[in-house]
Amino acid sequence: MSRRAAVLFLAPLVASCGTDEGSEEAPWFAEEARTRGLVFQHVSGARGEHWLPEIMGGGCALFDLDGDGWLDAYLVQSGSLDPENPADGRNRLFANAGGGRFEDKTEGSGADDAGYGMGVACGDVDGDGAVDLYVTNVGANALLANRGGGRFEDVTAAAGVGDAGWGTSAAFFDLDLDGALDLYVCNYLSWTPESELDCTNAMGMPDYCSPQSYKAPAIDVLYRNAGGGRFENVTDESGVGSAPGTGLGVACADFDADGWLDVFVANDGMPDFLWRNGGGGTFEEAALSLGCAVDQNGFSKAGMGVAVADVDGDGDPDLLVGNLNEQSDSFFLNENGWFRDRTLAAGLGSASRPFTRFGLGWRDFDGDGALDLYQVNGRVMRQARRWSEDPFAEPNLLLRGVDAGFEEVLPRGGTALPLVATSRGAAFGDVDGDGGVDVLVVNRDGPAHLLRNVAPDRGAWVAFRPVDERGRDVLNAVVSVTVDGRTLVRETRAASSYLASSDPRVHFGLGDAAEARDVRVRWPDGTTEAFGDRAAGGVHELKRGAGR
Amino acid sequence: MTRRRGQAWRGLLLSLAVLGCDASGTPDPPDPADIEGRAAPEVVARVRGLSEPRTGADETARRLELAMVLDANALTPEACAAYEAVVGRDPSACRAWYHLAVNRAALGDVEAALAALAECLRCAPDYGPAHWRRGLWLLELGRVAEARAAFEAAAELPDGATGGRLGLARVALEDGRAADARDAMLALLAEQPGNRDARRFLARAWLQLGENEKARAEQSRAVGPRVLWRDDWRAEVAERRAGYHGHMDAARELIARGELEGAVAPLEMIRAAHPADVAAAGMLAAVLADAGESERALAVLREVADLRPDHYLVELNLAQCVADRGDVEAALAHVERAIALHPLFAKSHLLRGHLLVRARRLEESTASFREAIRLGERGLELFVKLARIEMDLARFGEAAATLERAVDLHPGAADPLVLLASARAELGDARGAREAWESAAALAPDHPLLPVARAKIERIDPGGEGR
Repeated sequence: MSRRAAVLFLAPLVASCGTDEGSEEAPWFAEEARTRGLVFQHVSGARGEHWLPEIMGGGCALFDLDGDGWLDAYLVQSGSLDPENPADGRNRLFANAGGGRFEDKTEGSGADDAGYGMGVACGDVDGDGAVDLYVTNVGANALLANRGGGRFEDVTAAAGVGDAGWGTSAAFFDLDLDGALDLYVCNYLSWTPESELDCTNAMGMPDYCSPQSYKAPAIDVLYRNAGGGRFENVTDESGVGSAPGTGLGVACADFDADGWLDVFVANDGMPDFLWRNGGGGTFEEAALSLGCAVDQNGFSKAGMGVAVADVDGDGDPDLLVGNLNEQSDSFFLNENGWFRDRTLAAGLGSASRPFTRFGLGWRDFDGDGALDLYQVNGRVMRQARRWSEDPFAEPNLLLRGVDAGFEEVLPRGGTALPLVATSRGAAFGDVDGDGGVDVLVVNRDGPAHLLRNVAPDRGAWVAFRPVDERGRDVLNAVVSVTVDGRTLVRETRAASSYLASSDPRVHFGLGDAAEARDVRVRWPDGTTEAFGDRAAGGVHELKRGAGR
Repeated sequence: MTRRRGQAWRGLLLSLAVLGCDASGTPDPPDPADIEGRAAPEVVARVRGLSEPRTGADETARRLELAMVLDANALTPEACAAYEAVVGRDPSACRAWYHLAVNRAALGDVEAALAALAECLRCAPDYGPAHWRRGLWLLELGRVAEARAAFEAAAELPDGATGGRLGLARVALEDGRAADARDAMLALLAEQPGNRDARRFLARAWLQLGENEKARAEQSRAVGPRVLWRDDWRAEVAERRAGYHGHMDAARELIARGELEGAVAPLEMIRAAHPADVAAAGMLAAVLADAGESERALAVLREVADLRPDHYLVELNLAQCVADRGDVEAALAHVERAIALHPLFAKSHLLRGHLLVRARRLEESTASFREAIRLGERGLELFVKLARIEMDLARFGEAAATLERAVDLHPGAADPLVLLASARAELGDARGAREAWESAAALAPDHPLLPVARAKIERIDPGGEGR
């Protein structure tokens, strides 16, 4: 069908059902991937056989490759699962030359892992100050050690982290507070091309299956960093191996404030997991008891992406899970380590339900001090309502944080014209250093989008990079500031969203304030330091031991 | 545009949407050509057949039928337009308003759904499901007080009573009135013990009340597919599903009624259209086998095996089929092949375990059952069976561990507790045995194995001195 014909075809549907009208304001984002040199076309390898991995990738990362303060980009390519129909499945590395101008530096970098890619996690696993990459694949995953100068070395075998399952989201975190980053890897399903099934959608046509069709949940993997470039697989002894799931999204935080980092996993069509870290290297799955396994109706939803942030300003990490269309988001408000589903009260019920949300993140895009929400969407099965020629494509959602929760910002998705694509991974960070948080999105079988923040009347901002005594990034450091008498709390976290790794530095919108007062850091081991006041308009390093 | 102005525009557009899509208020139904290639041929044919006006026929009835066929087959935007065409011709068409509301909600436009539902309630104020649906949509919009009123109205009506009571419990949970939700659901469960929605809401209520163990127990009892609240008008729509899902619905309904032979025909129709669909073939084979036609069942599976020669599910279904015919060794060969093709599929290990029990290879069966559990099988019967075998093999420590896991996963079940009492008694753990026994007795005071377990405890700790 031609593009013109598609528009004519779609117009009556939208008119008859009246879902897209409403107030509009100036766009918050401008799509500038190509003009900024970030040219990446995702390839799923789909050939009409409906192999499930084709509809689930790919991921992306915003990270500082070379320590120059500019965020670089890593985009995970899928490729082909069919050896008789190969496709270029190499991931791409883009260096930020400054100001958010990107150059493709893949060739010769060693970062071009060619597995059927899903996602990426970022962290300095060997303590050399350079951010390493862990790539998840359908098949063996890869650990790419950053050797400096834009070069990576595949150290998977030596490190012992090449799990061969269907890896999805992964997270580096310090499970035992020994200062070395450990690794949690979600596995989605026990799947091979030979185990694929025939499925039929609600309109009676062949389509992708739901994960429940396979009845083959998979066991996630937990690796403990043993030092010396080696990891130990502690899946069974830690307890993580006791519960197979359909993990797609992961985020780590000390949800119960006991001093140990816990792991939340969004499962697709199964109860979500909250692996409560008991210290001593053991985890207990406690999501049901803590109120975040199922929704307020007691149902398991199809969890995909995960966001974690202190949304209500009480200092503890709240949770958001993006789910399938016809299921609203799951917004779990943390109340002293116990979660209440406040999705409807926060205004996230009807806003989210029409779309299938994958990558998502809470950031203060307009700098007013309240966290906003960005969700990138795309279906996993065909439906009658079509937004474009791509039957899986959907527009994104931007929701503004308001006192009572969230309300949708129009134009939809925050761009002048809605970006309609089958979006998957979304990473967040300020790529051009202008103080606005930008979004990198990978779209299935489409070009990547770089949504540069152009929010009108954006408030003042400040960002912080907590580092250890040797100047290395510290993940899960909790930074608090006081702005106009209100305390805001953010945490350094790379892994969240879907198949993605974001800039771990914390960003605060300050509104009209000229400074952030009483800056404090609670380090992962529980110790706190005060760093005084910091002026708006810059990224401040907070070095451990330099505070009071 | 400001937010306030935008809301005004939205209101205007919504009212236009309620009136219809063109100036006359009677929009044309969708063109069947638009769904060509997007829906199953059977659906397209039915839509095409209903799209032409017929002389002397009731035009509104024809259009309603067309809308319902589109609706039933998930062609939601087209159904939406078709229902609008119906209410444009006949604003008193209550059911069309109702289905229009449901379809608008499915498209995510809850405000427009409520507008259509208001029209429905104007002409059918006593249709209970319209009230509880209104409650659900209001709740989704965060309008909790209005939702409560809608559920209260539903609860007063015979066909809306259960939905209304469930909705009121949901509102209570949203309001933080967990004790009210608990009491309401306990009362409903006393009347309808099989209502899984009530159990889920009760579990949430217990959780909010800090009763974690009770919450876990209720949640484990609530496992199963989502309950569809009774809605006769929507059931009429569902009857119009065509193609794969229409046949599958028909088969499932017949199976549920025990009419296995009747279920064969719709499953055969699926197989004719989807000959390589291993899951559908497996279902047909299972129905045939249950209906006593194992030879035909085997033939179905062999035919699909020719089309999908290396598929684990085909091998697994063949294993089950030949096992049902009594050939355990042949079944084991098929299941071993299934495992070789897909080693991480839990159900293959589960079936292997069962087959090994039948072959009296108990040692090996325990390994298979454990692997099935490791890979995700969580059924109570599996744990109990494994524990019984472990006890038969005098592996009381392993049995106790298996049963402790079962108790953790199924906190409301008495069977694992009774067996745990016995296993602990065999291990000489009188205190632990008594604890398990008392928990079991509290759950099921008439459990037939309680005296057996008690005798074992008495043997190691007469009179309970070891407490």
